[in-house]
Parts: sequence; structure tokens; C-alpha cells
Amino acid sequence: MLLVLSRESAIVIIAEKKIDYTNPVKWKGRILASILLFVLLLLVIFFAVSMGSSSIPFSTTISIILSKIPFISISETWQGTTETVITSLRMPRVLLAGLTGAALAVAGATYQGLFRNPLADPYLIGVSQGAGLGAVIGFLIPISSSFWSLNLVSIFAFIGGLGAVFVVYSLGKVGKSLPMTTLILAGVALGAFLSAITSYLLITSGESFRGMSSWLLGGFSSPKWIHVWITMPVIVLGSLFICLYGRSLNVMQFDEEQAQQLGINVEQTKRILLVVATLITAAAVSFGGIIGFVGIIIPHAVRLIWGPDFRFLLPLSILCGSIFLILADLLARTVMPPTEIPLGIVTAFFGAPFFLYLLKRKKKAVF
Amino acid sequence: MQKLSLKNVTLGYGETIVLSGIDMEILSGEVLGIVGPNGCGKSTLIKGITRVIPLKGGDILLNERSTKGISQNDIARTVAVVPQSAALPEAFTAFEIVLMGRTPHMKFLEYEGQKDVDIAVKAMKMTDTIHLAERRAGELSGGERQRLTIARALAQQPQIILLDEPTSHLDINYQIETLELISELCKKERLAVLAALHDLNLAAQYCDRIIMLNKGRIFNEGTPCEVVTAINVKQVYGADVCISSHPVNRLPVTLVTGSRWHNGN
Repeated sequence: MLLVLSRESAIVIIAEKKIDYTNPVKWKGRILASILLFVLLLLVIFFAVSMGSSSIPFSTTISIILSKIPFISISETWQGTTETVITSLRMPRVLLAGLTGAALAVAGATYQGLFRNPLADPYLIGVSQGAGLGAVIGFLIPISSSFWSLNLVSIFAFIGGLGAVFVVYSLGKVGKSLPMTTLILAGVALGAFLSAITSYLLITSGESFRGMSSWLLGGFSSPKWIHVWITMPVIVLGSLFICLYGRSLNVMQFDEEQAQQLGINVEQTKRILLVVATLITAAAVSFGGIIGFVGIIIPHAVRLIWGPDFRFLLPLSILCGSIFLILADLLARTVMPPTEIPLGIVTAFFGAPFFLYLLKRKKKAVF
Repeated sequence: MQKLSLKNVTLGYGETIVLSGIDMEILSGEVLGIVGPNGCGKSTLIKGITRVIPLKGGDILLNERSTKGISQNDIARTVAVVPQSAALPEAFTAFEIVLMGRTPHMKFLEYEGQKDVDIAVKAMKMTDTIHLAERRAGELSGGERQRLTIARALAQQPQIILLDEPTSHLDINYQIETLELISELCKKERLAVLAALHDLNLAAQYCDRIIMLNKGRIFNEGTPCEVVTAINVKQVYGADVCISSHPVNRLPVTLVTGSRWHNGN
């Protein structure tokens, strides 16, 4: 009797032990990861600011940055040129790279979730092609004057990116609903059309060809604080706003019909997320150029490590995207000075092998 | 007393009308079967009730209240759907999927609490899926997925369950278990159940009432014995069958006779 009883309870224990009911969402580990990544991001920012053609000691960098924060007084022990290099050259560049990485990664994760397609990236429905054409036109217009020290290329790229998506959106709409397949097809078709024009302008451009093609590959060769001040509110607010929709995106990974039957207002959610993701992508692209690879790979890498739950995937993508692009930009400017390698080349050359390594090691369903 | 009533409902896609003049009531504690040939509008009916497609005419009342003004979330709190072939996101675990059934009950930024976890565990135990909890949906068989979507629907704690061919991917054992579970829940929890079914035998065994649809209209409505008759099946499906009565409970049984036996071969 006793034997039978203990055997039965043992089986129950084995059966119950498999599932940790008290922690179904595994949120503790994921929140810890977010905090650690945030600390890592700050370290990477300091590190990237001290590295460059003239290497500045880490402690000096920290002192200079801290001295800029109000209410903290630190006695100046460094040269004025060092301070200029850090505050007006490297700092805006590093911050811009971080913001751009965050925007592209979170927009990529959002697009992948909305389209339920692992191949989706922030450029899927025409932002990049629109921005590319806008930028090339900006290069060709001979007026060099600038508005708030913004050059014409950035302004035109921003307008071009948003304009292209607006056209795709209007073309892809069927009645009141927005079928995702139609949207992708409209995006791909308009993208091809715009690329054709861009390529034609590019080969007939003559002198400005070099500038244009390096813009199209992405990079932050002439960063200014004004760029940071313009993109920061759009990208920070937009990215945080998208994070609020984590659970809706989870439920939308069933098909749209099931998501609706689980109480999600699918059409409204799609519209809001598309608009916000497009806006932050356009903001990122207008200063950084068309940096490939970040938007598609970072969300997948995060998914491989921390799982598919969008409530964590979105914020973790923001942090990882930022860190990744700051480091990639650091490589772009330090590998063979004084020449800068276009950022798009660095992200793909170093990011792709890392991603393939993850893919091979984890061997689980990516999407 | 939960009640879903359809009043002169017309449904369709774009210009095409699929269902018209549909009047029906689904009462708590009752399993209502919807049968009819392919394309007669069974799935459309379920989409219309959950407002996935807009009403073209008539009205749907949930506990005497029109569903026209209420939000998608309010409908989902009362009405759960078990879809025909559920597309489940492959990377999520079975437990995460069932837990998503709690969506309509949670506020915008709320996280699943212990109460939600308990409800999900209970739903998974009822549907015999608890041992799958940590498996990814992509690794599960068709039958396991089907039971998982039923568990998700139960986690919604609905008062009304709509099932679209709930047994289509299941072997005979799970067909019986699923329908037993649903009719048990229906009686015990006083749920109102609407099940679109292909199998006339299962419909006859498990439904209290059957509605037979044909060409977008209600062809016949009544008890299994009244609806499942050789004449009705011939008229609606165009199929020649024999209707016998079940040796144990006298309910109608549809028998198929292969044509090669007609001439005494």
C-alpha cells in the first residue's frame, strides 16, 4: 500500500516538475537581460566615444561627458581639442548611430510581426527606395544652402521615404481593410519603380556619383548635434510607443481572424503600427542613409536568444540594435583611417557570420 | 441565461451574399449543430457572429443586446471560437498559446497573473494537453493543435463557444473525446455551443438541435431525428444515403452504400 502510494506521488511529482507554473512568462530573466543590456549600451557609448583616430583615455572621456551634465563640477585636466573631438564630433555620431540602430531594429521587429513574415525588414514597403530617390534628388539640386544646418539630402530623403509608403498604403488599401499581401506587392512594385529612377539618376550623375552611392550604403560621416535633436524625440517616443503593442502583436501571430476573435482591433492596430514604424524608419534613414541588415537580423537574433514574445522582443531589439550599430559604426571609422567604410558593408560583413553562428547553435524555430 | 440570437441576418463578402434571412437562437446548456454541404455558409456564419466580417443586414443580439455598438474585446469576453484549421505561431510554446486566450480579460498593459495561469492550466488539463505545455506549437501534430485551440477557447472563459469543424483533424477517439468534453462543459457550465459539423453521425449523437443550411438559407431546423432524414440529405447534399437508427439510443445514423453493391454484385 505504502509502496503504491509513494510510486503514484512520484509520478505526479515528475509530471508536475516539467512545467514551472509560477513563472510562465519567464519575465524575471528577460527583465534582468534588459537591465544588463541597458548597462552594456551605456558602456558601449563611452567606449565608442573614446575610440577613434586619436584614442582618448576612458577616464578622460567619462570626465568630459560628466562635466557636461548640469550640477556636476569636474576640474578640467584635459586639452580643449580633446573636448571638441568628444563633444562635437564623436558624441553626436555615436548617439545618432545608437538611435538609428534602435529605430531600424524595432521597426524590423514590428514589420516582421505585422506581416507574419521572417523576411520582412523596415524597408519592405518602400521607405528605403523612396528615401534613396529623395536623397539622390537632394544631391542633384545645386542649392547648397541649408535650413537649420540640415542639408537638402536629409530633408528630401525623409520626405521621399514617407511619401513612398503613403503611396503604397493608398494603393494597397482594399475598401476599409488593409490586406498585408496586397501591401507587400504594392511596396515591392513601387520600390522597383523608384529604384529604376534612382539608378538612372545615379549613372548619369557624373561627379556626385561617389557621394550618392556612399549615402545609399549608409553611414554617419558628418554628424551634427542638430541631427540628434531632430531624430531623438521621433525615435525614442516612436519606439516606446510600439513597445506598448507587444501583446497585440503576440496575438496577431495567429492569423488576423483569430486575433480579432481574441478581442484585438486588428485593422486599427495594423494602421497605428505601420505609421509609427514607418515614421521612425524614415527619421533614421534620412540621416544615416540606407543601412541594411540591422532591421532584419537584430530581431531574429533577439528571438533566437530570448524567445518570440513581442513584449520582450521589442524592447530587447531596441537595446541590441543600438549596441550593434554603435559598434559597427566604430569599426567603419577605425578599421582603415582616414577612409571610412560604408556602414552597410560593415553591418553585413560582421553581423551575418554572427547571426549564422546563432542560427546554427540554437537550432530552434526562428519564427 | 445566456443567449445569442440572430435576427434576419444577411452576410457576405463584397458584393456576394453568402447567407440571408438567418434567424436562430443559441441557448445556454444547449449544443446547436450547423450542418450543410461545403460552401453553404457555416464558416461565414461564425465569422459574422464574431464580427470578423461586417453584417450586411439584420442584427445579432448577445443577451438581448445588439452587438452593433460593442467592442471586439467585449464580444471576445463572451464568445470564443475554435477555428477550423488553426494557424498557430510556431515559435510560441503551447502554454503561451493557451495563455493568450486570456487576452480579452486583460487590460492594455496588464501581465498574466496567477489567476490567468490557473485558468490556462485548468483548460489544458481538461483538453488533455497539459503534458505539451512547454513544447513549441510547430512541433505538435494536427490533433494536438486542435485540442490546444480548444484549450485556448476555454481559457477565454466564454459563455458561448462557436466551433468550426472541431473534429476535422482528429482521429475517432479524439473526435469522441472532444465532443464529449464540449457537451459536458455545455451542461455543467451552462455554455451555449454552436458547432459547424460535417459528420452527420457525430452531429446526430452530440447536438440537441440541428440546423441544416442550404444555399445560404436555413433549410430545416429541429431535433436530430427531424433533420437527419434521407429526404433532407438527398435534397440538400444530393447524396443517396440510408438513414438507420442507432441500436443504443435510436438517434439517426447515416449509412453510405457504395454503388458497386446496388446491383447485387
